Amino acid sequence: MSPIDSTIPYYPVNDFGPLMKGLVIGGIGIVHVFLAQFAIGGGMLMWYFERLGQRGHEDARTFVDGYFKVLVLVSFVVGALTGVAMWFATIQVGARTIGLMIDEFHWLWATEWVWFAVEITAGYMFYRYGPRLADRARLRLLALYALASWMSLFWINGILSWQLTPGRWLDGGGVWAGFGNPSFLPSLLFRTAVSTTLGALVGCIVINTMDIPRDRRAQLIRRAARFAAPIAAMPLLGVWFVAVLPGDSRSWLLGGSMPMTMFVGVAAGASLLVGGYVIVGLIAQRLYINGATATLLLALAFGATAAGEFVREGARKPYTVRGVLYSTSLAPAEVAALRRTGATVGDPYPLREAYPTAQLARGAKVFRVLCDACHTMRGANALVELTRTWADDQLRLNLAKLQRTKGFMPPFAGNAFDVEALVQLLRWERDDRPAMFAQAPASPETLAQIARWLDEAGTAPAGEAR
Amino acid sequence: MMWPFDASIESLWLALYLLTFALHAVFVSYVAAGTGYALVAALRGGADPIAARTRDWLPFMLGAGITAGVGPLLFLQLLYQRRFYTANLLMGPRWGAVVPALIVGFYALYLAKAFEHRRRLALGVGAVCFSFVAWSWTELHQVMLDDAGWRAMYAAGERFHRDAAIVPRLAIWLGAMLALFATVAAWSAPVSERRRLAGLALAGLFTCGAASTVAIAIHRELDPAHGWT
Repeated sequence: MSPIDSTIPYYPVNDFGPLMKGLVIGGIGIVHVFLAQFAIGGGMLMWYFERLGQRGHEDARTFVDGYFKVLVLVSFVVGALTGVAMWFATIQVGARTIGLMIDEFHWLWATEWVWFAVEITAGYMFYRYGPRLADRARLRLLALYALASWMSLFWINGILSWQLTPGRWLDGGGVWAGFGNPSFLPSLLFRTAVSTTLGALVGCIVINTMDIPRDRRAQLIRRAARFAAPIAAMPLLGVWFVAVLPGDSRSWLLGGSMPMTMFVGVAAGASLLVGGYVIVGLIAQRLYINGATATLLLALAFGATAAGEFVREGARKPYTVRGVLYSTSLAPAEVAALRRTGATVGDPYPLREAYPTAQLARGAKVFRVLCDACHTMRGANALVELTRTWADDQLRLNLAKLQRTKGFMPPFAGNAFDVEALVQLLRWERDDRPAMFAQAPASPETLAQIARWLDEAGTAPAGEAR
Repeated sequence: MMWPFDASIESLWLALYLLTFALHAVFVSYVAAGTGYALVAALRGGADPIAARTRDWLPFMLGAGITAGVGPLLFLQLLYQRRFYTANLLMGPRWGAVVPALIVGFYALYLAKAFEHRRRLALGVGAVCFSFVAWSWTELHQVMLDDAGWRAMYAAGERFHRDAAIVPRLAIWLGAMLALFATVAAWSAPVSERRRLAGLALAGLFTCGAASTVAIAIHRELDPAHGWT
């Protein structure tokens, strides 16, 4: 059983200014995923070209011994560092979430680390000693590098996909039930196809820098392009992935939430453009691709990766671990308790600034505990702007019935006093923080109405847990 | 049996944490002390085969150190989760600067290896970066221990934790790093160079001992052992 039970661990909360915390994690994550997936595909491509080289294709050998291995070396080091950066950033935004993931999957994470260490070791060994090794040893070392990098993806993908579709883990199925969750296989195969495509595209760029005649570069490009063929399977894999999502998440991606639907459109559209050029142009028609065009395709692939990662993250709302932990770092079972005690009674950390009234200070604490993970006050996804035109009673109702206001919001984990305090804070912020804030204390009737709305909404989320 | 010999899962985590941390310490000691050694050699000028070999190995050692650091990071989060996460959050962006410092340091090492005319600058930048990282980890450790001061640190918005124990702890680590670097460097050194490396190792051990003695004399007690929370 996870150590995170009924005792709520409150952590200090840092202000990211106008930046939405999800965007910060997303930005780092996209770079990390892009580099890591390229390192996987690049390793596979190097093994393939090494094999070609050993069968007499001299230019393939030159390719392997030249720039490409340096690029892979760079990407997997920066990939490792951005992975650590992700870890640190996740602690900043959702310490309880990463803690839960560590508690549940630390042995699998340790396994992933062992494979990553093998990958790094094999990569460095090839980089440093490759020219001196016999052909068989070179091939085996590259095979080990490629296998280890893919195995690293294998393990981490299981942990990440568990967040979105915990599956039978929710029924007490244990670590393996969580690892082998419904979206594990479609996401693993999808990411593998992305990896080979990225490896092929960067390969095409590097081939264009080689000092050999165009017809020989064209031969290498045709070989590299074949490596991107798995992109043809991505539409099917994407459909499979969407099919295993929880019903409410699926509905947001397919029109229920226009921002999410647009991200799906960007990811699918960019992938289609890359895939169309690869399959029809490079493979079927054996076209030549110059460095500029290959770079453009790589940029499109980056855009597709970025949009896809946003879709994956957004589809998880209102949870960070579906059915287990909300984005607020509160467990579903804790919402009812906080409805009784108030959202901030257990928070030991004081506010960093002074507020004109105790109620506004309470509202600031409520914002910090319940809203700060995904919203800013005035920057990205700003609560002030989202609620600017709402009348006061409308705001009270929408907060009290939060999970009914928007299906991807968690239930409000506080009592009527917390709702009213947050309402007054938003009004004070909307009015540019006047020093003298004329507010009438909420009447007992108003507080009673808020309490009724909270009861009507209940403590369950709008959607199903799985 | 008493902890940590009671065969509990936490004992296993602790053992694995110490094992993986020891491996990480060997690599990062080589990097931190080796960068310092190579910098001093570059400033003094002249041929120094130890420095030349060190510059050649530094980028690999840093990559290995970063990779080897993931293991202890994992077990640290199991053993001291709340303390570690709270310290991360309290130090905030100042702690987050460790990652870009490592990236800059990494590429500085490559520059130092490849370009002789930029060597001193590159090694200087690397030394600053790795010193920052070493200091940051030491400070984070102290924040982890100071749970009585967390609220005040958060309220004040302080990102730096002023603690008299940081300097002696850093000195102990720097001494240990020097000894570890010299030991690893001696592995591939000819006999004629081992005397100098042995001297460095002894200097490192002496620094450890002296810093520990001073720290104990000032504080008059060793830090009490902390269990996991």
